[in-house]
Amino acid sequence: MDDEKIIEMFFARSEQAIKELDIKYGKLCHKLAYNILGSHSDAEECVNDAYLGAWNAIPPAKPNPLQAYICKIVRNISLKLYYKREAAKRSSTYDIAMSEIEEVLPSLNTVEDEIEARELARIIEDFLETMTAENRVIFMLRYAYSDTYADIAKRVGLTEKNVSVRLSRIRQKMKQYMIEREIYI
Amino acid sequence: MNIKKFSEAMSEVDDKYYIESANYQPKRKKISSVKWGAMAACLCLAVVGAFMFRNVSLSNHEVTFDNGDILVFAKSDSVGSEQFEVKRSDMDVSALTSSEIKLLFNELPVSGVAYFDKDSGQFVAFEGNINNILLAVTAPGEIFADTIIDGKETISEIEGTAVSAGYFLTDKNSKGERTVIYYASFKLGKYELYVEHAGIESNGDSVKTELADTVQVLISNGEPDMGSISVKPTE
Repeated sequence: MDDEKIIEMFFARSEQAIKELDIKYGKLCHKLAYNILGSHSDAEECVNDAYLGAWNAIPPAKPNPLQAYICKIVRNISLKLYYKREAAKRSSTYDIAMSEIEEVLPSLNTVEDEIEARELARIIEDFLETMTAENRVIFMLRYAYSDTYADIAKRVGLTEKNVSVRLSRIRQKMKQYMIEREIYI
Repeated sequence: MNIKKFSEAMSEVDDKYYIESANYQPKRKKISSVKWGAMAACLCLAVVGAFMFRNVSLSNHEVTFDNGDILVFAKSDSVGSEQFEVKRSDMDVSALTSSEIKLLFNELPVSGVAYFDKDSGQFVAFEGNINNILLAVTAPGEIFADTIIDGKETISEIEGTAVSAGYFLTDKNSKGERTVIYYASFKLGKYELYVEHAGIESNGDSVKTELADTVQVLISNGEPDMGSISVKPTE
Protein backbone atom coordinates (compact mmCIF):
# COMPACT_ATOMS: atom_id res chain seq x y z
CA MET A 1 0.00 0.00 0.00
CA ASP A 2 1.14 3.53 -0.79
CA ASP A 3 2.46 5.62 2.08
CA GLU A 4 -0.08 8.27 1.16
CA LYS A 5 -2.99 5.85 1.70
CA ILE A 6 -1.58 4.79 5.06
CA ILE A 7 -1.35 8.46 6.07
CA GLU A 8 -4.94 8.97 4.93
CA MET A 9 -5.99 6.12 7.24
CA PHE A 10 -4.15 7.78 10.13
CA PHE A 11 -6.02 10.98 9.36
CA ALA A 12 -9.32 9.06 9.27
CA ARG A 13 -8.35 7.57 12.68
CA SER A 14 -8.64 4.05 11.27
CA GLU A 15 -6.74 1.43 13.26
CA GLN A 16 -6.08 -0.30 9.95
CA ALA A 17 -3.37 2.36 9.50
CA ILE A 18 -1.24 0.66 12.19
CA LYS A 19 -1.77 -2.74 10.57
CA GLU A 20 -0.75 -1.44 7.15
CA LEU A 21 2.23 0.36 8.65
CA ASP A 22 3.28 -2.90 10.29
CA ILE A 23 2.81 -4.90 7.09
CA LYS A 24 4.94 -2.46 5.12
CA TYR A 25 7.68 -1.47 7.58
CA GLY A 26 7.26 -3.79 10.57
CA LYS A 27 10.13 -6.10 9.65
CA LEU A 28 12.54 -3.21 9.05
CA CYS A 29 11.50 -1.53 12.32
CA HIS A 30 11.83 -4.73 14.33
CA LYS A 31 15.30 -5.39 12.94
CA LEU A 32 16.41 -1.85 13.71
CA ALA A 33 15.16 -2.08 17.31
CA TYR A 34 16.63 -5.56 17.72
CA ASN A 35 20.04 -4.38 16.48
CA ILE A 36 20.08 -1.77 19.24
CA LEU A 37 18.57 -3.80 22.07
CA GLY A 38 19.58 -7.37 21.26
CA SER A 39 16.24 -8.68 22.47
CA HIS A 40 13.23 -9.60 20.37
CA SER A 41 10.72 -8.88 23.13
CA ASP A 42 12.24 -5.44 23.83
CA ALA A 43 12.33 -4.76 20.11
CA GLU A 44 8.66 -5.63 19.78
CA GLU A 45 7.80 -3.35 22.70
CA CYS A 46 9.70 -0.46 21.11
CA VAL A 47 8.13 -0.99 17.70
CA ASN A 48 4.67 -1.00 19.29
CA ASP A 49 5.54 2.19 21.19
CA ALA A 50 6.70 3.72 17.92
CA TYR A 51 3.38 2.84 16.28
CA LEU A 52 1.59 4.47 19.20
CA GLY A 53 3.86 7.51 18.80
CA ALA A 54 2.96 7.69 15.13
CA TRP A 55 -0.74 7.31 15.97
CA ASN A 56 -0.53 10.25 18.36
CA ALA A 57 1.52 12.42 16.04
CA ILE A 58 -0.40 11.81 12.77
CA PRO A 59 -2.38 14.03 12.41
CA PRO A 60 -1.36 16.82 12.57
CA ALA A 61 2.00 15.51 11.33
CA LYS A 62 1.98 14.36 7.72
CA PRO A 63 5.35 12.65 7.39
CA ASN A 64 6.94 12.24 4.03
CA PRO A 65 8.74 9.91 3.62
CA LEU A 66 6.92 7.70 6.10
CA GLN A 67 9.62 5.04 6.11
CA ALA A 68 12.35 7.32 7.47
CA TYR A 69 9.87 8.86 9.92
CA ILE A 70 8.89 5.57 11.51
CA CYS A 71 12.49 4.32 11.48
CA LYS A 72 13.65 7.38 13.37
CA ILE A 73 10.89 6.99 15.98
CA VAL A 74 11.82 3.34 16.45
CA ARG A 75 15.49 4.25 16.69
CA ASN A 76 14.88 6.98 19.29
CA ILE A 77 12.58 4.83 21.44
CA SER A 78 14.99 1.91 21.25
CA LEU A 79 17.89 4.15 22.24
CA LYS A 80 15.92 5.52 25.20
CA LEU A 81 15.29 2.01 26.42
CA TYR A 82 18.89 1.11 25.72
CA TYR A 83 20.23 3.96 27.84
CA LYS A 84 17.82 3.04 30.62
CA ARG A 85 19.40 -0.39 30.66
CA GLU A 86 22.90 0.90 30.10
CA ALA A 87 24.16 -0.75 33.23
CA ALA A 88 23.10 -4.11 31.90
CA LYS A 89 25.41 -6.30 29.91
CA ARG A 90 26.37 -4.75 26.57
CA SER A 91 26.15 -7.19 23.73
CA SER A 92 23.97 -5.79 20.96
CA THR A 93 25.15 -4.90 17.45
CA TYR A 94 24.56 -1.28 18.44
CA ASP A 95 27.16 -1.60 21.25
CA ILE A 96 29.70 -3.06 18.89
CA ALA A 97 29.04 -0.49 16.16
CA MET A 98 29.28 2.39 18.65
CA SER A 99 32.48 1.10 20.25
CA GLU A 100 34.04 1.03 16.77
CA ILE A 101 33.13 4.61 16.06
CA GLU A 102 34.07 5.85 19.53
CA GLU A 103 37.73 5.34 18.71
CA VAL A 104 37.63 7.88 15.89
CA LEU A 105 35.44 10.58 17.45
CA PRO A 106 37.65 13.52 18.36
CA SER A 107 36.78 14.85 21.81
CA LEU A 108 37.72 17.74 24.07
CA ASN A 109 37.44 17.81 27.82
CA THR A 110 35.78 21.21 27.88
CA VAL A 111 32.03 21.18 27.56
CA GLU A 112 31.87 24.66 25.96
CA ASP A 113 33.55 23.52 22.79
CA GLU A 114 31.34 20.51 22.28
CA ILE A 115 29.09 20.49 19.28
CA GLU A 116 25.32 20.06 19.39
CA ALA A 117 23.77 16.86 18.03
CA ARG A 118 21.81 18.71 15.38
CA GLU A 119 24.90 20.54 14.17
CA LEU A 120 26.84 17.29 14.19
CA ALA A 121 24.11 15.72 12.06
CA ARG A 122 24.65 18.41 9.41
CA ILE A 123 28.40 17.71 9.45
CA ILE A 124 27.78 13.98 9.13
CA GLU A 125 25.50 14.76 6.16
CA ASP A 126 28.27 16.81 4.53
CA PHE A 127 30.66 13.94 5.14
CA LEU A 128 28.17 11.46 3.64
CA GLU A 129 28.08 13.58 0.49
CA THR A 130 31.82 13.07 0.00
CA MET A 131 31.33 9.30 -0.23
CA THR A 132 30.23 6.96 -2.99
CA ALA A 133 26.62 5.78 -2.76
CA GLU A 134 27.77 2.29 -1.80
CA ASN A 135 30.02 3.51 1.01
CA ARG A 136 27.30 5.88 2.22
CA VAL A 137 24.86 2.98 2.42
CA ILE A 138 27.39 0.82 4.26
CA PHE A 139 27.95 3.64 6.77
CA MET A 140 24.21 4.22 7.31
CA LEU A 141 23.39 0.54 7.63
CA ARG A 142 26.09 0.20 10.27
CA TYR A 143 25.69 3.38 12.29
CA ALA A 144 22.01 4.28 11.77
CA TYR A 145 20.46 0.83 11.49
CA SER A 146 23.17 -0.93 13.55
CA ASP A 147 23.25 -3.81 11.06
CA THR A 148 25.82 -6.60 11.42
CA TYR A 149 28.67 -6.94 8.92
CA ALA A 150 27.02 -10.10 7.62
CA ASP A 151 23.72 -8.31 6.98
CA ILE A 152 25.46 -5.36 5.29
CA ALA A 153 27.55 -7.71 3.14
CA LYS A 154 24.39 -9.43 1.97
CA ARG A 155 22.67 -6.13 1.23
CA VAL A 156 25.46 -4.53 -0.80
CA GLY A 157 26.83 -7.69 -2.40
CA LEU A 158 30.27 -7.67 -0.78
CA THR A 159 32.06 -10.08 1.52
CA GLU A 160 32.02 -9.47 5.27
CA LYS A 161 35.75 -8.83 5.13
CA ASN A 162 35.27 -6.18 2.45
CA VAL A 163 32.59 -4.49 4.53
CA SER A 164 34.90 -4.48 7.53
CA VAL A 165 37.73 -2.92 5.50
CA ARG A 166 35.41 -0.34 3.94
CA LEU A 167 34.08 0.67 7.37
CA SER A 168 37.55 0.90 8.80
CA ARG A 169 38.55 3.29 6.00
CA ILE A 170 35.35 5.30 6.30
CA ARG A 171 35.90 5.74 10.05
CA GLN A 172 39.46 6.93 9.48
CA LYS A 173 38.25 9.37 6.83
CA MET A 174 35.54 10.64 9.15
CA LYS A 175 38.09 11.17 11.89
CA GLN A 176 40.27 13.16 9.49
CA TYR A 177 37.24 15.08 8.23
CA MET A 178 36.29 16.12 11.76
CA ILE A 179 39.80 16.97 12.86
CA GLU A 180 40.31 19.17 9.77
CA ARG A 181 37.15 21.06 10.66
CA GLU A 182 37.99 21.14 14.37
CA ILE A 183 34.83 19.26 15.27
CA TYR A 184 34.83 17.93 18.80
CA ILE A 185 32.07 15.81 20.21
CA MET B 1 29.05 11.10 26.19
CA ASN B 2 30.36 11.50 22.67
CA ILE B 3 28.90 8.17 21.58
CA LYS B 4 25.49 9.26 22.81
CA LYS B 5 25.80 12.52 20.92
CA PHE B 6 26.97 10.75 17.77
CA SER B 7 24.03 8.41 18.09
CA GLU B 8 21.63 11.32 18.57
CA ALA B 9 23.14 13.00 15.52
CA MET B 10 22.60 9.85 13.48
CA SER B 11 18.91 10.09 14.37
CA GLU B 12 18.92 13.66 13.06
CA VAL B 13 20.52 13.06 9.67
CA ASP B 14 18.30 13.74 6.70
CA ASP B 15 15.58 11.21 5.86
CA LYS B 16 16.99 10.70 2.39
CA TYR B 17 20.00 8.83 3.80
CA TYR B 18 17.72 6.47 5.75
CA ILE B 19 15.63 5.85 2.65
CA GLU B 20 18.66 5.38 0.41
CA SER B 21 20.25 2.78 2.66
CA ALA B 22 17.02 0.93 3.49
CA ASN B 23 16.14 0.56 -0.17
CA TYR B 24 19.61 0.15 -1.68
CA GLN B 25 19.97 -2.32 -4.51
CA PRO B 26 23.54 -3.34 -5.35
CA LYS B 27 24.64 -2.82 -8.93
CA ARG B 28 26.17 -6.29 -9.08
CA LYS B 29 24.31 -8.48 -11.49
CA LYS B 30 22.88 -11.88 -10.78
CA ILE B 31 23.70 -14.61 -13.22
CA SER B 32 20.75 -14.92 -15.53
CA SER B 33 19.43 -18.21 -16.80
CA VAL B 34 20.68 -17.22 -20.25
CA LYS B 35 24.18 -16.83 -18.86
CA TRP B 36 23.92 -20.15 -17.06
CA GLY B 37 22.83 -21.68 -20.36
CA ALA B 38 25.78 -20.11 -22.13
CA MET B 39 28.16 -21.26 -19.40
CA ALA B 40 26.77 -24.79 -19.53
CA ALA B 41 27.23 -24.80 -23.29
CA CYS B 42 30.82 -23.62 -22.90
CA LEU B 43 31.47 -26.33 -20.32
CA CYS B 44 30.12 -28.97 -22.69
CA LEU B 45 32.32 -27.65 -25.46
CA ALA B 46 35.30 -27.65 -23.13
CA VAL B 47 34.71 -31.25 -22.06
CA VAL B 48 33.87 -32.64 -25.49
CA GLY B 49 36.53 -30.73 -27.33
CA ALA B 50 39.25 -30.51 -24.70
CA PHE B 51 41.82 -32.10 -26.88
CA MET B 52 40.77 -30.29 -29.98
CA PHE B 53 40.83 -26.87 -28.29
CA ARG B 54 43.93 -27.31 -26.16
CA ASN B 55 46.24 -25.51 -28.55
CA VAL B 56 43.85 -22.67 -29.17
CA SER B 57 42.69 -22.11 -25.59
CA LEU B 58 43.86 -18.51 -25.82
CA SER B 59 41.36 -17.79 -28.53
CA ASN B 60 38.93 -16.84 -25.75
CA HIS B 61 40.41 -13.79 -24.12
CA GLU B 62 37.74 -13.07 -21.59
CA VAL B 63 36.79 -14.10 -18.09
CA THR B 64 33.23 -14.34 -16.78
CA PHE B 65 32.83 -13.75 -13.06
CA ASP B 66 30.28 -15.38 -10.77
CA ASN B 67 28.26 -12.17 -10.74
CA GLY B 68 27.94 -12.21 -14.54
CA ASP B 69 30.47 -9.45 -15.25
CA ILE B 70 32.78 -10.23 -18.16
CA LEU B 71 36.34 -8.95 -18.41
CA VAL B 72 37.44 -8.82 -22.05
CA PHE B 73 41.13 -8.65 -22.98
CA ALA B 74 41.75 -7.06 -26.37
CA LYS B 75 44.73 -8.12 -28.47
CA SER B 76 47.59 -5.70 -28.41
CA ASP B 77 50.45 -5.64 -30.91
CA SER B 78 53.07 -4.52 -28.45
CA VAL B 79 53.53 -3.50 -24.86
CA GLY B 80 56.18 -1.03 -23.82
CA SER B 81 59.08 -2.74 -22.14
CA GLU B 82 59.89 0.03 -19.72
CA GLN B 83 56.59 0.65 -18.04
CA PHE B 84 57.87 1.34 -14.60
CA GLU B 85 60.49 4.00 -14.93
CA VAL B 86 60.12 6.60 -12.26
CA LYS B 87 61.90 9.89 -11.96
CA ARG B 88 63.51 8.78 -8.73
CA SER B 89 65.62 11.90 -8.28
CA ASP B 90 62.75 13.99 -6.92
CA MET B 91 61.15 11.27 -4.85
CA ASP B 92 61.58 9.47 -1.58
CA VAL B 93 61.05 5.74 -1.61
CA SER B 94 59.65 3.75 1.25
CA ALA B 95 58.78 0.07 1.63
CA LEU B 96 55.30 -0.39 3.06
CA THR B 97 54.82 -2.08 6.40
CA SER B 98 52.55 -5.10 6.73
CA SER B 99 49.94 -3.03 8.59
CA GLU B 100 49.94 -0.43 5.79
CA ILE B 101 49.60 -3.20 3.20
CA LYS B 102 46.65 -4.62 5.12
CA LEU B 103 44.98 -1.23 5.39
CA LEU B 104 45.42 -0.53 1.68
CA PHE B 105 44.90 -3.93 0.12
CA ASN B 106 43.10 -6.00 2.73
CA GLU B 107 44.09 -9.68 2.54
CA LEU B 108 45.88 -9.51 -0.83
CA PRO B 109 49.52 -10.68 -0.49
CA VAL B 110 50.98 -7.40 -1.73
CA SER B 111 54.58 -6.31 -1.38
CA GLY B 112 56.25 -3.25 -2.81
CA VAL B 113 57.46 0.28 -2.37
CA ALA B 114 55.77 3.65 -2.42
CA TYR B 115 57.16 6.87 -3.87
CA PHE B 116 56.58 10.22 -2.26
CA ASP B 117 57.24 13.72 -3.46
CA LYS B 118 60.43 14.93 -1.76
CA ASP B 119 59.09 18.38 -1.04
CA SER B 120 55.48 17.80 -0.07
CA GLY B 121 55.75 14.22 1.19
CA GLN B 122 52.61 13.44 -0.84
CA PHE B 123 52.03 9.96 -2.23
CA VAL B 124 53.01 9.72 -5.90
CA ALA B 125 53.00 6.05 -6.79
CA PHE B 126 53.18 2.49 -5.57
CA GLU B 127 55.01 -0.27 -7.37
CA GLY B 128 54.83 -3.85 -6.23
CA ASN B 129 53.58 -7.37 -6.69
CA ILE B 130 50.71 -9.58 -5.70
CA ASN B 131 52.45 -12.94 -5.83
CA ASN B 132 53.68 -12.86 -9.46
CA ILE B 133 51.28 -10.18 -10.60
CA LEU B 134 52.72 -6.75 -11.07
CA LEU B 135 50.75 -3.91 -9.45
CA ALA B 136 51.16 -0.17 -9.86
CA VAL B 137 49.07 2.56 -8.26
CA THR B 138 49.46 6.18 -9.22
CA ALA B 139 48.18 9.40 -7.75
CA PRO B 140 46.06 11.73 -9.92
CA GLY B 141 48.09 13.51 -12.58
CA GLU B 142 51.16 11.33 -12.09
CA ILE B 143 52.45 9.36 -15.05
CA PHE B 144 54.06 6.41 -13.46
CA ALA B 145 52.94 3.40 -15.43
CA ASP B 146 54.02 4.74 -18.77
CA THR B 147 52.58 1.80 -20.61
CA ILE B 148 53.01 1.89 -24.34
CA ILE B 149 50.22 -0.11 -25.89
CA ASP B 150 49.85 -0.47 -29.62
CA GLY B 151 46.48 -1.81 -30.53
CA LYS B 152 42.97 -1.91 -29.28
CA GLU B 153 41.81 -1.82 -25.71
CA THR B 154 38.37 -2.92 -24.60
CA ILE B 155 36.47 -1.39 -21.75
CA SER B 156 34.67 -3.90 -19.53
CA GLU B 157 32.50 -3.06 -16.56
CA ILE B 158 33.45 -5.04 -13.45
CA GLU B 159 31.33 -4.38 -10.37
CA GLY B 160 30.43 -1.01 -11.88
CA THR B 161 34.06 -0.04 -12.53
CA ALA B 162 35.36 0.54 -16.06
CA VAL B 163 38.36 -1.72 -16.72
CA SER B 164 40.55 -1.43 -19.78
CA ALA B 165 42.25 -4.76 -20.47
CA GLY B 166 44.41 -6.36 -23.11
CA TYR B 167 46.98 -9.04 -23.87
CA PHE B 168 50.15 -9.36 -25.86
CA LEU B 169 51.96 -12.38 -27.28
CA THR B 170 55.75 -12.31 -27.70
CA ASP B 171 57.66 -14.01 -30.50
CA LYS B 172 58.74 -17.60 -29.91
CA ASN B 173 61.85 -18.06 -27.79
CA SER B 174 64.66 -20.55 -28.42
CA LYS B 175 62.48 -23.32 -27.00
CA GLY B 176 59.71 -22.42 -29.40
CA GLU B 177 57.50 -21.02 -26.59
CA ARG B 178 55.69 -17.73 -26.63
CA THR B 179 54.96 -15.60 -23.59
CA VAL B 180 51.54 -14.11 -23.07
CA ILE B 181 51.16 -10.89 -21.09
CA TYR B 182 47.76 -9.92 -19.73
CA TYR B 183 47.23 -6.46 -18.33
CA ALA B 184 44.42 -4.27 -17.06
CA SER B 185 44.07 -0.70 -15.87
CA PHE B 186 41.23 0.94 -14.00
CA LYS B 187 40.46 3.79 -11.67
CA LEU B 188 39.47 3.37 -8.03
CA GLY B 189 38.43 6.72 -6.63
CA LYS B 190 41.16 9.11 -7.64
CA TYR B 191 43.90 6.50 -8.09
CA GLU B 192 44.90 4.70 -11.28
CA LEU B 193 45.71 1.01 -10.91
CA TYR B 194 47.61 -1.13 -13.39
CA VAL B 195 48.06 -4.90 -13.08
CA GLU B 196 50.03 -7.19 -15.33
CA HIS B 197 50.66 -10.92 -15.36
CA ALA B 198 52.75 -13.00 -17.72
CA GLY B 199 53.37 -16.68 -18.39
CA ILE B 200 54.08 -19.14 -21.15
CA GLU B 201 51.33 -19.39 -23.71
CA SER B 202 50.28 -22.90 -22.70
CA ASN B 203 49.50 -21.56 -19.20
CA GLY B 204 47.64 -18.59 -20.65
CA ASP B 205 44.27 -19.48 -19.21
CA SER B 206 45.50 -19.60 -15.63
CA VAL B 207 47.52 -16.40 -16.13
CA LYS B 208 44.41 -14.69 -17.46
CA THR B 209 42.16 -16.03 -14.68
CA GLU B 210 44.61 -15.08 -11.91
CA LEU B 211 44.84 -11.55 -13.26
CA ALA B 212 41.06 -11.25 -13.63
CA ASP B 213 40.50 -12.51 -10.06
CA THR B 214 43.00 -9.97 -8.78
CA VAL B 215 41.23 -7.17 -10.64
CA GLN B 216 37.93 -8.20 -9.08
CA VAL B 217 39.35 -8.35 -5.54
CA LEU B 218 41.02 -4.95 -5.93
CA ILE B 219 37.73 -3.45 -7.15
CA SER B 220 35.76 -5.09 -4.33
CA ASN B 221 38.21 -3.66 -1.81
CA GLY B 222 37.39 -0.17 -3.08
CA GLU B 223 39.58 2.88 -3.30
CA PRO B 224 42.90 2.27 -1.53
CA ASP B 225 43.54 5.12 0.85
CA MET B 226 47.02 5.86 -0.45
CA GLY B 227 46.94 9.28 1.21
CA SER B 228 47.08 7.57 4.61
CA ILE B 229 50.62 6.29 4.10
CA SER B 230 53.71 8.41 4.44
CA VAL B 231 57.41 8.23 3.90
CA LYS B 232 59.32 6.57 6.73
CA PRO B 233 61.92 8.64 8.55
CA THR B 234 65.45 7.61 7.59
CA GLU B 235 67.36 5.94 10.40
